[in-house]
Amino acid sequence: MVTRIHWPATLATDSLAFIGTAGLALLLGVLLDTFVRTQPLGLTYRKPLAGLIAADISQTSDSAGATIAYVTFDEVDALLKRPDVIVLDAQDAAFFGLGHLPGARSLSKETFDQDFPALEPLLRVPGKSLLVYCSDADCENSAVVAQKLYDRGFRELYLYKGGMEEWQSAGMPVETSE
Amino acid sequence: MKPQSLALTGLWLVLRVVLAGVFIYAGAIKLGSPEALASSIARFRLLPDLCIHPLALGLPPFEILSGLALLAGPWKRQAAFNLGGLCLVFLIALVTAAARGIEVDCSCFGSAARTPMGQMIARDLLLLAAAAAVYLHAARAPSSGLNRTPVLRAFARWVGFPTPPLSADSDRRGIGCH
Repeated sequence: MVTRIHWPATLATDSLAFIGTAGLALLLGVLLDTFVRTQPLGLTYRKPLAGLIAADISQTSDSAGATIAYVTFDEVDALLKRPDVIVLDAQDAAFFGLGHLPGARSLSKETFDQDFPALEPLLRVPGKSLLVYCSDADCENSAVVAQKLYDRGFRELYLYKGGMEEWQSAGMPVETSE
Repeated sequence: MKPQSLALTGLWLVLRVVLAGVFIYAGAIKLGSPEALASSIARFRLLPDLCIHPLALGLPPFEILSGLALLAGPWKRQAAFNLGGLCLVFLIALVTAAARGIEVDCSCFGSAARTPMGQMIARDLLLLAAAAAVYLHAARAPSSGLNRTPVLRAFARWVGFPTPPLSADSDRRGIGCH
């Protein structure tokens, strides 16, 4: 049987149902986040480090003389030759396996809390600087990882925005771990 | 029921179950990683920071609730409307991101792999078409679900939404029995 459709009324009640479902879903999501998750997300979004560094400022320093800087392809090439620089790959572990900068260690944002304790003694060696990168210029993972490192007291941080995409397209050597 | 009609009913049922399954799956895998979802939403650069975490927390339960409602039957029209609306919003977000040259990853089905923009848009269009088909099919059937729920009908009238009249025939057939 086909019923005559009252479109304005039908769409109005369906919109009401949409709003009701959205409200219920938000309530459920907040309850789950608050009472079930060990590390709640919370309601306030905090921009990763990329947001703290204005796009037109390539380098910033805090009162303790720390350095947080975006570095270019040429600067990365130079940094890789320095023994005091530790390279951290913020891509997912699967992508790290497919290809990473020479000597890089995997520290993705997803597994940061599990992987950081094992890396911490190496990263805490005085005088070391950290170079963090991820897949490409639009990838936020390196900024998220850098933010987490910053929160743990690391102040010598370099972010390579071009990431693996730029590095590979320039024909530079890539290590795999497969 | 004629065999042809039975086959058609079966086809609609399969479409409904597949559509519901896709969204329940998508919601379930996102439920455990709201941080990754928030990061993906932020990359679209469409919403103010204030909205990012509430959306990341509410979206997975919204997909699961709507998927379950689509499976359940009595609210299939409203559920299809919800999912179609979601696809439409997401399509707009994807197209505007593509127009602005932003590389995004929707994290629709987890964040394990980066999906090309064209593939994401095609997948979204397909889901939108399926949701629209289920919605139109459900809307043409005798009124059921929320439209027949007295409390919701009363609420809809109270907030000023017109409610379609219930036909005597559909009253006799009972809720959700088509």
